[in-house]
Amino acid sequence: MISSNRALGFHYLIRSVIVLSFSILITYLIKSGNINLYIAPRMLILVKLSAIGFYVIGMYQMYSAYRYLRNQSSMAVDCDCDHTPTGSVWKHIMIYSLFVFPLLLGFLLPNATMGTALASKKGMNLSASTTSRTVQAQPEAVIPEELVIIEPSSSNQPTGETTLTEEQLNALFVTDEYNEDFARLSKQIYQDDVIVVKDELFMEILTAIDLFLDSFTGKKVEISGFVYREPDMNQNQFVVGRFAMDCCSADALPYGVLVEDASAAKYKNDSWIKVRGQIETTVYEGNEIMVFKPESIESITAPESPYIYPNYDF
Amino acid sequence: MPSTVTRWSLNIITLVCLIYVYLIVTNQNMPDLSLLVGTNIQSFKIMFISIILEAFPFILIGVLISALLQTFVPEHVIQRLVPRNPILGVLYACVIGIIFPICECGMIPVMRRLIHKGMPLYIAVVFIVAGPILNPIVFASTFMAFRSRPEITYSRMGLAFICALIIGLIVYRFVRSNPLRHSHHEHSHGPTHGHTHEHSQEEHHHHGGKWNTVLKHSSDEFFEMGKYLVFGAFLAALVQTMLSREWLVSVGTGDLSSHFFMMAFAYIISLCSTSDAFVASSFISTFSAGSLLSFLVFGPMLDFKGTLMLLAIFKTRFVLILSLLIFTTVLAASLILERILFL
Repeated sequence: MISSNRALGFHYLIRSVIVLSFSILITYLIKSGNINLYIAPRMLILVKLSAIGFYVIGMYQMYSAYRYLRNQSSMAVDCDCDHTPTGSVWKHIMIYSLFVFPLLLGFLLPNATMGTALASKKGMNLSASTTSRTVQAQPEAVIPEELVIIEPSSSNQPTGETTLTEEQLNALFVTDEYNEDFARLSKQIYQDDVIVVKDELFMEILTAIDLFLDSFTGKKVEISGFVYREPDMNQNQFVVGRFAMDCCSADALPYGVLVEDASAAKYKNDSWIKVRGQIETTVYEGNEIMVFKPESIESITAPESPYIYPNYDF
Repeated sequence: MPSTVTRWSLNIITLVCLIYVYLIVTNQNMPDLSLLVGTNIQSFKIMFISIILEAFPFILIGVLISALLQTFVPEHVIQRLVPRNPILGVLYACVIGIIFPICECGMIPVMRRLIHKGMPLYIAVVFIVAGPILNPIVFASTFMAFRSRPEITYSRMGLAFICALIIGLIVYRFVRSNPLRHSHHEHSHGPTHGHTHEHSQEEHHHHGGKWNTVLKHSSDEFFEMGKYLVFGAFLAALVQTMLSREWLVSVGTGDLSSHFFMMAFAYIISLCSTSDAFVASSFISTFSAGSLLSFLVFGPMLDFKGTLMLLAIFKTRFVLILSLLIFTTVLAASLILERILFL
């Protein structure tokens, strides 16, 4: 009985160290701000709670370990279940190393941001809104007259006077029941001299532009992100992209915009830039997508939070 | 026993060498081992840690509820709560997720406890397959991800409901034997309880009271379920880092094969049901709505880490049968729904 108590005590000791380490890992990631690289802010509260849970469990296991190692054999018979560890020592080593492995990775490897390597695995999304486009195609075809009248006049003076009337805007951004929110957003940003693709609305603005690409052609935009290239891209092309994360990095997907510029080769993959330019359309891999023709490209440092999060209520 | 390890490691090394010899002789490409260096290990780390961190809260909630049930809820209460009529029972299990919104990492430990407490197997199975989809959080996240295609959200919910119903009734009708793993299996995993034997309430009264018991059960069960979770996350992260999506897409285009592909993809990446809609919506330009539905319904019902966790409670044979059942039901139902709705 005494030797099995000792064995149990060691098991609890190992477990408490593992569980407490997880708690410390989470705390460390939160304190250093690196938790953003793994988990979306909306999950943060749950992860914090789990750190507390681990702490409680870890302390309890530590206490059990202490009691077993002190040979309080009465502990061992507190219920009718068989506590004695069975199975080979190697099996236990295997199981515990399974838990230790992520801890080692977490503590020892430097934290990195998702960049081009993962973007190429996950596949860069270059037109944010293919979803809505197919749906939107029909209503646009139904009311062609209004469009024909308004469009030329507005695209002649795309920036300049931003005092478009309500009707003009409505004609530019034809609403149906599915794209209502995007049409509303489009009307807002269309009024800006330069459309800044903000982090908080990154995907939403890109989707809106992509949905109403014809109306937005010629407008000025500003966007920042990391540089990414597909293997088959031309010398003068690259993508400015960001990772959009919903819950955790495993579901994060890269979204980006194609940029065409003579100086493209200067910018290395994974470097962060801010591009200011004009929205045009181009055909890439058989699809008509938006392309930014830059007026200025500026190298920037990677932002504090490199990822963007879908905004559910814009 | 070191001798066992030596023997096995020798066998494995021999096998690996044979595979390499075969590849060299037949003049094929070597497997891509570049994973072991540089950026790939970083990518792997990001994926692995993030899947684990995301799943931990849910598994902790699961083991906590399970321990609370074990300690505070007597068997007869649970038996009384479940309707006698099998159809009512299945319907009841389908909608319980609405008030009990946790994903399968949390669901599986709770279900194991409930089965031991006398809940019928088919009800537990319906819980496991329907719970992770038919709940308000998943509804909201799917609705957001497919903002412009609300019919996908409704179809996902409807399809999950129908599939869970069919699966539950088939399990009710055909599974007679007890598919639970026996206690000696569990004991071989470590100093954990074999949860297959029931402790009566009173037995836990001595030493520190009931809360002590709750803590003890939660911590033991965390290790028991956690190892499957960590291993599943490990494999999922490995696959995500090694296989590119483009390659996968090139494998899986075509009418029926797109369904297979999306289901296999869902299985492999093992996402939590609350976030998978977002990934599915990124495929909408390449894949049909029907195959996306297969992804959205099949993934939460069955995936890599889920299968490993199921193996912790059920016998291998039952897990295989259940997997096959889920696969065929979801495939058939989503094909039919696709014909009705989207063509």
